[in-house]
Amino acid sequence: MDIIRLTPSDEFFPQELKTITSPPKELYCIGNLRLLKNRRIAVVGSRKCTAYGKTVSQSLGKKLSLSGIAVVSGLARGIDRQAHIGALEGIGSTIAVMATGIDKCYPISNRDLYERIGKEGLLISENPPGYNCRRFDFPHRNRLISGLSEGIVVVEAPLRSGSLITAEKAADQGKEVFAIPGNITSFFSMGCNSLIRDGAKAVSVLNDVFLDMNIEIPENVVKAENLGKDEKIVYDIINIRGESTTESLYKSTGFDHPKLSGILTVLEMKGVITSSMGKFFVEKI
Amino acid sequence: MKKLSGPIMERIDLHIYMEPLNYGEFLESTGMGSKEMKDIIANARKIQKDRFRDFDITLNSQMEGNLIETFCNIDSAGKEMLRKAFEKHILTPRTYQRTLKVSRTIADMEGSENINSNHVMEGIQYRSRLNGYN
Repeated sequence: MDIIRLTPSDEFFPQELKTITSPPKELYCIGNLRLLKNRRIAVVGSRKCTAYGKTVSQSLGKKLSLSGIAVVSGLARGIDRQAHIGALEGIGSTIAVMATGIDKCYPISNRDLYERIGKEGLLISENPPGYNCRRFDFPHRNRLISGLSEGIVVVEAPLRSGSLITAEKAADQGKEVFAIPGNITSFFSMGCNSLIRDGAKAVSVLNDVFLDMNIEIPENVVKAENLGKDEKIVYDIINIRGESTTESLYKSTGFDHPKLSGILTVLEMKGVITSSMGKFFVEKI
Repeated sequence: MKKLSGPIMERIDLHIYMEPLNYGEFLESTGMGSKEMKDIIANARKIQKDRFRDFDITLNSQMEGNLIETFCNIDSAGKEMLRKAFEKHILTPRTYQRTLKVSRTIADMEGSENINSNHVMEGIQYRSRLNGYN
């Protein structure tokens, strides 16, 4: 994968990054530079997250990408990863802003994502190949995530999360900050809920972000009419419940396990449901 | 879960999510009895023993490379299902082979010579989902 070095005088160097605090002197890039010409929205959150946060992050990433938006995130575990994956399921418009040098992939568990984004999206780092990354580089990198984006959506974060720093920098930079609310009993959503209390825009449905930022809403891809009779039975149960386990579907349908497994696979392949941590969700985007 | 990495999890053949039973369910216990299960398994084991009699393995999971090609005779609908699953990133290169072998065993348990798309569809549900692409 070829590394391209951009300086402030280069055509593709994002103008917005010249006026942030501590502007980067250079940017190292691998992938599709043209994504820097797209409208850009950051989707961020904690490394520690729930199946809820992962699903929302993935759906949002996909929906934004299908609208032609470049989804900006930090290549971290958890919410960032799902946002990038969602965008790759869209048209592949995603930008990963890395804290490490451009040639190193951290965390190693996201190596597959690093490779794919290098081919289909864009990897960016202000640090050159061979750079020895320190802990400070991670919060420092967050100013680039918010700097590159018109707005930022914090999907799920507990009280002490780096993504809250990103939200703060975004607010300082005058960018729109959205937060996805969660149950008030949920430790993992306390950061987002407190952002809303402190003035971030609450998202009650994903379309809120699109309407507020004047982004065209992509056509709904889910065509439930393409489902067979038994497939529709299973789909409807998952749709009404919001999330289901194989066990609960087995009890509700009475289908034997091989048959139910088959139906779930077909529904996953058709892209109308998705699974996370043992639960199935409707791909509602 | 943090201690088991993706590559390790992908090497485990069957992943099944289970929920705790409530007391009522526990008392009810419907479904297949142990004897019936034992017979099905014994039969599948016999098929595998016969299949590999000229080789030094005894189980489908032990198959590698050429043997998979030779013994996992799969109909065109089944092949198509595997291909689609791979393209949609539902299967990775590692889980693809594993799913094929699991489907071979599912077909054996049904007493079917060929692997068909139903066997593949069931096999796909047992895959490791930790790669995040699901």
